[in-house]
Amino acid sequence: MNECYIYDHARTPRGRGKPTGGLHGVTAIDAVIQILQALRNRNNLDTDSVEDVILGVCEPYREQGANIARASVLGAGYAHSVAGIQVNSFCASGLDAMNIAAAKVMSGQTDLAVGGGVEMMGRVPMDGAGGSVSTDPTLTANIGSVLQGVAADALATIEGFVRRDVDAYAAESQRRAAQAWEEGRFDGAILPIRDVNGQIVLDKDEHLRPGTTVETLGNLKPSFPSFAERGFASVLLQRFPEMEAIDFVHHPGNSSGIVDGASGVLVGSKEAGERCGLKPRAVIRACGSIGSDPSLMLVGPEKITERLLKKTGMSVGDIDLFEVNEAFASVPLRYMRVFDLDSDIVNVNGGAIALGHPIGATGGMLLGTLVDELERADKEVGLVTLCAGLGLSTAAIVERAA
Amino acid sequence: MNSMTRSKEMHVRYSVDPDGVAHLVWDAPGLEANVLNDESLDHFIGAIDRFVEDEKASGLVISSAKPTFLAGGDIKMLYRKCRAAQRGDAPWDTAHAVYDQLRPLVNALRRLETCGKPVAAAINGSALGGGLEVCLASHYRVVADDETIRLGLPESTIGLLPSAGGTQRLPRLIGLKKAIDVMAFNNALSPSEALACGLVDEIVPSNELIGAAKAYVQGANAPAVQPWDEKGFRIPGGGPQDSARWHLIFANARSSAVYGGNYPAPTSILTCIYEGALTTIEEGFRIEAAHFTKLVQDASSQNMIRSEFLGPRILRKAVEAPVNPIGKLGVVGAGNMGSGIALAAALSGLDVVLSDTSAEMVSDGRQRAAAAYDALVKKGLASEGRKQDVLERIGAAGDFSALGDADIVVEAVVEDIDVKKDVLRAVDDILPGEAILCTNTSTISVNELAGVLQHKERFTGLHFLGPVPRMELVEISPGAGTESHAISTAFGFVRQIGKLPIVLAPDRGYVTSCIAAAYAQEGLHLLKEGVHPAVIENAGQILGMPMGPLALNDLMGGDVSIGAMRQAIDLGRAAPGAAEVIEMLETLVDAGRLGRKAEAGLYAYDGDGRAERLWPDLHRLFPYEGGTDSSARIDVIKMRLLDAQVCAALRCLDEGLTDDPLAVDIGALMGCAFPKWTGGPLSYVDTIGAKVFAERLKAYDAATAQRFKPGDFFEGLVRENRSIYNEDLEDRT
Repeated sequence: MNECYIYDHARTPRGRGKPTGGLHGVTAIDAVIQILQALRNRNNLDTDSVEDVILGVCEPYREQGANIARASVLGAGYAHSVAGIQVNSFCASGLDAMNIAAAKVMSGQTDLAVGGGVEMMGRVPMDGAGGSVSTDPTLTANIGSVLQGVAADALATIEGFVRRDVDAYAAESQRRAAQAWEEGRFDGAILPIRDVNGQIVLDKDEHLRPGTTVETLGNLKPSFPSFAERGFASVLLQRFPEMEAIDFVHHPGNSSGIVDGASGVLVGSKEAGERCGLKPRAVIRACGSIGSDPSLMLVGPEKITERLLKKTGMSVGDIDLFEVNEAFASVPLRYMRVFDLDSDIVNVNGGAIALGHPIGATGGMLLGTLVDELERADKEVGLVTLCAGLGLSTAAIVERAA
Repeated sequence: MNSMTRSKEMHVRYSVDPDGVAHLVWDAPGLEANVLNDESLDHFIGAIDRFVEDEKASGLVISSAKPTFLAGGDIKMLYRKCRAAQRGDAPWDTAHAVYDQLRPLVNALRRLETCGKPVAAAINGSALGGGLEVCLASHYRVVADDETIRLGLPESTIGLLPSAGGTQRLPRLIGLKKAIDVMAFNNALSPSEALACGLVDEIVPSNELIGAAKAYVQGANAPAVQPWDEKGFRIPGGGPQDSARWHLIFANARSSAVYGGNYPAPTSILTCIYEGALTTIEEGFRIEAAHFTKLVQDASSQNMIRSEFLGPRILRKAVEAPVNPIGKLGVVGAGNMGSGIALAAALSGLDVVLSDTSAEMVSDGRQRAAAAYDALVKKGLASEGRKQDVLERIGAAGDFSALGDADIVVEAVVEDIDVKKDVLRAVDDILPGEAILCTNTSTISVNELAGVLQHKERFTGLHFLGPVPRMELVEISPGAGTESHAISTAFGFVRQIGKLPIVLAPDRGYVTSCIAAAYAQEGLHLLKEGVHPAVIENAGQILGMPMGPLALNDLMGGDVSIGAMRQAIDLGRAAPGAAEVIEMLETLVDAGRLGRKAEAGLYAYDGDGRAERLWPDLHRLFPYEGGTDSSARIDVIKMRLLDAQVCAALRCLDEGLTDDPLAVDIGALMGCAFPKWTGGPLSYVDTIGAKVFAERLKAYDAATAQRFKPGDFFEGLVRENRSIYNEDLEDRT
């Protein structure tokens, strides 16, 4: 099996996913084109040598539909020979896109590829693409479909996380993200997005709320009781009867933010890198996806972590840094409890609670953040994982290139 | 043509006015209401074909000559067919055969709506099930201005679905959201509601009904094409993958919450709506027929038809009631039960005298009745306007003297044998000879109470359940010396106040008490074994019980339960394991946790008497394991809560409370809220088979198996490989 190296990565700033957001005037294809062009330009890539562009999109409809990967290859002026594939594993789409690119490299079927994703949530709203998942009555009766936020509250209930626990986590995410920006830790990854005249429209993540405290979060009302009452709570109580009732602790301040963004990661074999004059930054040790309980949904990260550790013969202690997507505060809290992790090595630069979660793009962004932080903190091994709808989860273990 | 010569026996009359408007009139020969059965369907389809081919007919008005329009399928016929399908008897012996049986009506209605001639339905009375489906296949629906008319598709209540195109036409006519509400959650509509959502086109006075329908079919621009057959048709409110998407998502969640995984029909209905809306109406009919075929072969349809419809109908006629109705009811004891019985009777137009030992207590009782009335209004079960009239029917008496002219007196004083004896003796003395005396005791021997009376022959147990105005079931348990006249009078009284009587054998206790106690007690056994209380409560709800067993214990009250169980032990009727339960309840009572009335029990309560959470300190009295450990055993826990009740039901037959399985099943369903999908505990045994049930009982741990003793009657079933319901039930209706 070949080694797969990470050579470069780029991401857009994360714009607020609403009409007042900084990227609201940018099309999904334009965001991806600018990422692809940046990866080409700053690495002096002859795009003939890129074989695949694989992009994750959670809501592949409207402007994000019809294989945006191939469309953006053509729009970015890459060689016509570059293939384009769009993949969907909900919140894990971006990392799965990167993992598929990596697996192609490892198997020797591709030499150089871009993985990543896009989600302009303010322009292409969540839950617009339809699908059978929660609408098909026979399917939902069989699998117990619930709204993800209600599942997050159920997870907190089962784990005994009270409002103060999740709010404290959220406040810390804000503090870390603000500090990371202050110290310029995202500078290498951020690609300022420009308009047609080259003017910068956004060069900073804009979802952050620096100065957030447990007290300021205390005024926010829980988001999901009204959904739970419409039946989702019963579905969860039937499947997890140890709960007497669901405690509602999640709200917009401790859940991932709705934002616009795109990401790209350039991966390839050792030979391809040498041929193109690229400097390897990290090597992928393992990657994969897994399914877990579809109703509770959010415990997949621990399952895929266990599987990757087993496959690599590593232990949790071998991992120096973790990026665990902050879909809801209860997710990283549970993950840290399960593996008995020190919070100092998990999401050290904040996460989606502070920065936002542009669904299809997040996986590529978190991987980039992890690689940058391994270098900055001079550490060796990192793990990135995201939970996703219907119990899916995806992860990758990377190590700094020698 | 045959139909001309035999027209008198036809369910459906066909004629054509000189102006070319044809009439199809439903008028079932010799019946009070029209009904869809094999014969009437044959006539109906014949009439449709005549109209379609009749060159003289330019349009059609469908109407009814009965007070109701058409109230759906013949339940007895459906029951026979479900049983035949489940047994594999011809003509419904295969899925294919069932499917084929549905097609003639579906095809005929399709021919009707696509024949190119306008069709209007003149809906003079309620149109339910197949009756409404006939209206849906018309191009225009006009309904009489009578708000008591109901337009609905209630098939889900008997485990089936509308099979004449209803699942396809209704969503296309009124949108997914409303159609789901009508079909999957059984909400029938009044004429004004139907007009608002577009189910009907017009409301007119009933004497103008035919004229209005005729005016439509004669109208120059009367479309003779259904909206869904027009080019570019879109479902109102959007399809399940566009703007109606969230209606589906919430409906699915609500269906899971309301029906759990226990009822196949609502899921099938939702699936027909969903899949049908994604394809053509013709394909939708095939999807509907496939799901109906599946449901007919599922045990739940047979069980629900039997227990929801045929059973009550049979039990209502079990005893011949006296010709003369009760004029005046006396109630002794103005507590919750007494005031509830008084209100229930007053609601049915009886005069009531409510008595107790003081004017003050009676006044409290009348206030309770008023509060209970308000609760009914809140639930839409009574009208505010009638309140004063109803409550004025309840007279007050601070002593027993006013009971002298009552036709029937019900004693509902505190459950204390000596108090009851005193009260009954006193009432017996002043009550005229022809009047009937009843006790509402649930635990004390009727024979023993009869022992203090001069007129034992007119004395019987009459067991109401709380809240009385809403609980339909009343058990009659006579004493050894009760004469049949007293039983039939009590029976007639119960029928008169709109409730369902079950007559039990003399002085053997009550079916509902046995089964409810088994459920409540099994919950306590589980708690004692260390099962997490939340898991116990959720297990009950997963089964389909409206209340967890621990909540039921709180409702009954620890002290009352202890008293009842001691009484049962004295009478030799105690359930196995009773001593352990008494010990647990005593521990709770000693800790002041009597239950809901004390606002402290297995649950903690808010200030308004509502259960808030399980009592957080419960583990100090009864240590329990972690929730997830218990959760992993949910299937066993759930089955234990079910099987404890099933064993109690079997013991009711064994101990001779009744020899009618229907009385036990209906008692459990209506009195104990036993889950409807089973058809009752005895239907459940028949469904899974006595042998399978016996195996399951054996597989329990030793202590549980020791308690789950269904008795000799059941052993006989297993030995002889018999079912409990043997004869064809429809013969009894």
